Amino acid sequence: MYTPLPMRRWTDFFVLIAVLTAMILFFGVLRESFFSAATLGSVANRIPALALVATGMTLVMVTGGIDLSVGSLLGLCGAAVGVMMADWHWGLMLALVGSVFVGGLIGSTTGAVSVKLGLPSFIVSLGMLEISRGLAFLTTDSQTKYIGADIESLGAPIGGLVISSAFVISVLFVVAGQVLLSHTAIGRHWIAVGANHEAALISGVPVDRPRILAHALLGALTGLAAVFNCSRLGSADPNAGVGFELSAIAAVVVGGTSLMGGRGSVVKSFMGVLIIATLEAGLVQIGASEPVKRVVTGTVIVIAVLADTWRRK
Amino acid sequence: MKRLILFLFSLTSPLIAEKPKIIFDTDITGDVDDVLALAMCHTLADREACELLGVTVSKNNQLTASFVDAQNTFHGRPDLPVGVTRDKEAQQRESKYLKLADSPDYPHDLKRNEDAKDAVELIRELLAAQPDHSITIISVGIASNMANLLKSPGGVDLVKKKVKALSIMAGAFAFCNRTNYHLEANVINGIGYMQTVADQWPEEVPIVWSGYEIGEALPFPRIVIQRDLDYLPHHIVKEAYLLHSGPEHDRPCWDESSVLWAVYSEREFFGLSQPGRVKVLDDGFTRFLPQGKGQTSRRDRFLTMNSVQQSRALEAIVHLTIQPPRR
Repeated sequence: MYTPLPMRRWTDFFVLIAVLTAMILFFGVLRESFFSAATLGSVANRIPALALVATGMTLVMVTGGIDLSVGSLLGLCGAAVGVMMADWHWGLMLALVGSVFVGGLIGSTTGAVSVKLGLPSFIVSLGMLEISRGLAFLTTDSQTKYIGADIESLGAPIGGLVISSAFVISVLFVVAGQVLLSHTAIGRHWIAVGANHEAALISGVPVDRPRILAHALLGALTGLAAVFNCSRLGSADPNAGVGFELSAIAAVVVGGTSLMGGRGSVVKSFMGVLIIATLEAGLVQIGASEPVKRVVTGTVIVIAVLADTWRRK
Repeated sequence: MKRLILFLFSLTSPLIAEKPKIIFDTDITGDVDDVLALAMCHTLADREACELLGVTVSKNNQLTASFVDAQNTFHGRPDLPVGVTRDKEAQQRESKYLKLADSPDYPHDLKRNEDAKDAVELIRELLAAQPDHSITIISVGIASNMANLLKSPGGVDLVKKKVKALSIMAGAFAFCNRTNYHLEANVINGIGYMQTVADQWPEEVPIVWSGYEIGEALPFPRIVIQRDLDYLPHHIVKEAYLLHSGPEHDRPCWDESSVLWAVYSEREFFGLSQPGRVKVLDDGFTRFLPQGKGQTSRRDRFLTMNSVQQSRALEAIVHLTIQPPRR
């Protein structure tokens, strides 16, 4: 049966809401303390870095690309923040700009190498994953850089609320990302390139610059995410972000963005972030072991992809 | 010549570390590393490397006092004082191995928690009876007893006066379990208790934290359980281990690391971080801040470990665990 596109989008959205609600109820039944301000705060504090990276990853995946280096890039940008604040005694704002710059530069490089040399972004980003991690360790001499109160304010709850400045800022970027994707010319170019690269080329749509820009934006958002991650730890750890790319891709896929490109929503990726963060928080609260967490998270991803594939047939 | 040697020895004797007096505070219910850690305490006491004053339990289970007494008796200390928490808010935990307390293979006389002392009262008594600054408390479970000790009348002052150091297994201070934001079980199963300890423990009494990452890097070899404890027909450590983990698992030595540091702190089985302060966040994360980074405290350090120390520490833990008990 044919379902009109706008109705399908709303259906997708409500399905995600239903999944999130069911998950909250499930964990709440298993562990009464799940329904608490502390849990809400714990989930909210997991979100900012992941939400930012998922926003950028949505844009890249819409163009048909992927970036596996974001976890290592998070570590590298965090390392840069550590050096800037702990060693050079820069202020938070200057370090934030520096981190965003480093992330944007690396992201642009990944995009440019992939696009201009015609290499799959999967392979290029795999190489950048190793390069970034190595640079993170070199930058910090493999030591954790303790920063302290200068950066903790970003992750601290605002007033008497459980959410932090980082959470609010990340939500604003989610909204901005959705506006960029769905209401601007560049957004339409991203979708066109991802949906059909050859058709876009023949139609005169620029195909290289949008893809490079998507990678650059992902890198810059990862740089900002690194600052939020450092505020959560109070320090910069060169090991930060290991496996983070999988969480980001999982959130984007759960949110319905196609791995083939041409289709995606930043807002639904954010719903995917909420689902992944709630799942992780719930599994910790019920005392699930690490192997169990990995099996469950992986199963959720596969189910999400299967459900999406089945719905579109 | 003999007089010269004795004279020189008398000059150096103050440099030899005093034998630590230890109180072992454990949540011996869920995981089995507590059982191995308690075995280490007994072995170290047998070797006169320390004086074991008593054992207290920080979680709720009707068999905790009975099992601890059974293990103490097995190791040749049937009269060692045992205290259990009376705090109803402390986590209630089921156990795969505490039922060994009811086995006729491990005779002992303390059968009911009601017959054991209150943990905090026992700790207070033990502290009061000892010289000042002489006791090392080893806390390897949730911090219910430590928090309630601090909150008891004059508790903070008593700790300040009598305790030399707190060796605590809790938190995570390095990348571990595939994350650098690991929420460790001893903290998240009693966040409020651990926050009380982190916030109210006296500045003058050092705390040395053994994070999750230390135990994770010290897996107890399964072959030792399979082959090296058969010198007795029934060995409580072996049977508890098999009931909990089975024969094909190398259980990380989280709690054992805290015992090893507490008794042999000068032997460099571990390194120590720079001094600072640990803060326990509301989600259970343990954030370490060095002195000088916006705070002046030097109270806390966490254990570090290089590859050489890893090998040494593991071998020490193994041999201190499997030594035959004195009878």
